[in-house]
Amino acid sequence: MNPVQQRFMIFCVFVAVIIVGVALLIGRGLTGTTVEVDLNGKAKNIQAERAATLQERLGVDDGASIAFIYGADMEGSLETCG
Amino acid sequence: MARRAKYVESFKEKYKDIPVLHVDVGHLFNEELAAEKPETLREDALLMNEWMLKGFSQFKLDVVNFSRRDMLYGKVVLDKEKYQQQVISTPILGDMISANIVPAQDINKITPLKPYVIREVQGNRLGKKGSLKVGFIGLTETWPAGTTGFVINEPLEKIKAVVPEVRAKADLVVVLAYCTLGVAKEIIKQNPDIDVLIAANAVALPPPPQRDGKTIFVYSVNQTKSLGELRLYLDEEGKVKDYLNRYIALDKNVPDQADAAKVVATAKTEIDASKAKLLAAEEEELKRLNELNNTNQKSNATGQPNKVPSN
Repeated sequence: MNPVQQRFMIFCVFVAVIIVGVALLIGRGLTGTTVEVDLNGKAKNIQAERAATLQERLGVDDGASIAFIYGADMEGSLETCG
Repeated sequence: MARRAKYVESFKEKYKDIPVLHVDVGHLFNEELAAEKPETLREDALLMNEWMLKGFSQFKLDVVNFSRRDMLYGKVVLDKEKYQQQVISTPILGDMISANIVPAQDINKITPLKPYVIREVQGNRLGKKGSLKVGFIGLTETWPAGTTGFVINEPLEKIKAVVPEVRAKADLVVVLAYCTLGVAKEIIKQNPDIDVLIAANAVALPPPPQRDGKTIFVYSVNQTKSLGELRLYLDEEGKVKDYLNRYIALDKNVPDQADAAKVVATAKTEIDASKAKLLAAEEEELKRLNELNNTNQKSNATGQPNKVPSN
């Protein structure tokens, strides 16, 4: 293999690594797999991540002491909205 | 309700060390009026509201704020003659609170609501005491109460009187307020001793959570399409050192709680039947009025007197 071919091979490997990396990032975005804690180590706010599973939505145990789960404006409907 | 119940159940299963209190900030009931009787709920609305009480008595809320939008059904269900029996069959009614919606004295037919309740939780993350008393105060903005049998007192005046009373009995003071953003901010400004204010006012996009002084302020999402989750982090003295507010989308990725789904299905069957009956009656009435109109048009043509619609 001459030096030009060697450089071409290295270039191809480099491009392949970039493609795989980008694909992984896109895949993670599409499936909703997320980092579970934010920069402060608290369970991440997943308001916008609608593809997340129930377990992902529950987040992680970040040392919270107590939780309030709240809602409002059910308007007499037990059925699911939206 | 089935997805909401599933999330709460799953949270309790996953986080056994984190005590959780499940609350509703108001407008639990339907307020659709009957066309022929002003300020009276439609038959299907009455049935829907009855099912709300049954559903949330089984999949229990810890406390419910009785708001200005709940007064029409409150007139029915808080009637002094029926109240005791109703609380036995649907205990959640006894957990409804309001500090500023009171029975109109001149009518005196309504059972007064508790202005606040205290809930005690235990846990190994609640500071040295290992327990925490949480005082919930219910509040709603002023609104014409009409003939509901209630009067809404000025919330800013009422809350000033109630907060010190609750503070003396509780470690944490939480206000559930059905009101606009402006009123919520004024409540916080005038009552800096409130630890948490959870507000609601049928908003689709809640403002960002914030901390003003010591008060943490969050808003509910309309129709609970997303469930609010507020986590508090306490220090050794049981004081709030930090918080995290999240909104959990209750879409199809959150499965139904199986038993709750059965309740919802039974309710839906009954309510649909009631709606169909009402619709049939409305169509029948329309048909009758059309026939009467046609008869009168013929009478006008022949010079005979018109018939008057009867009820």
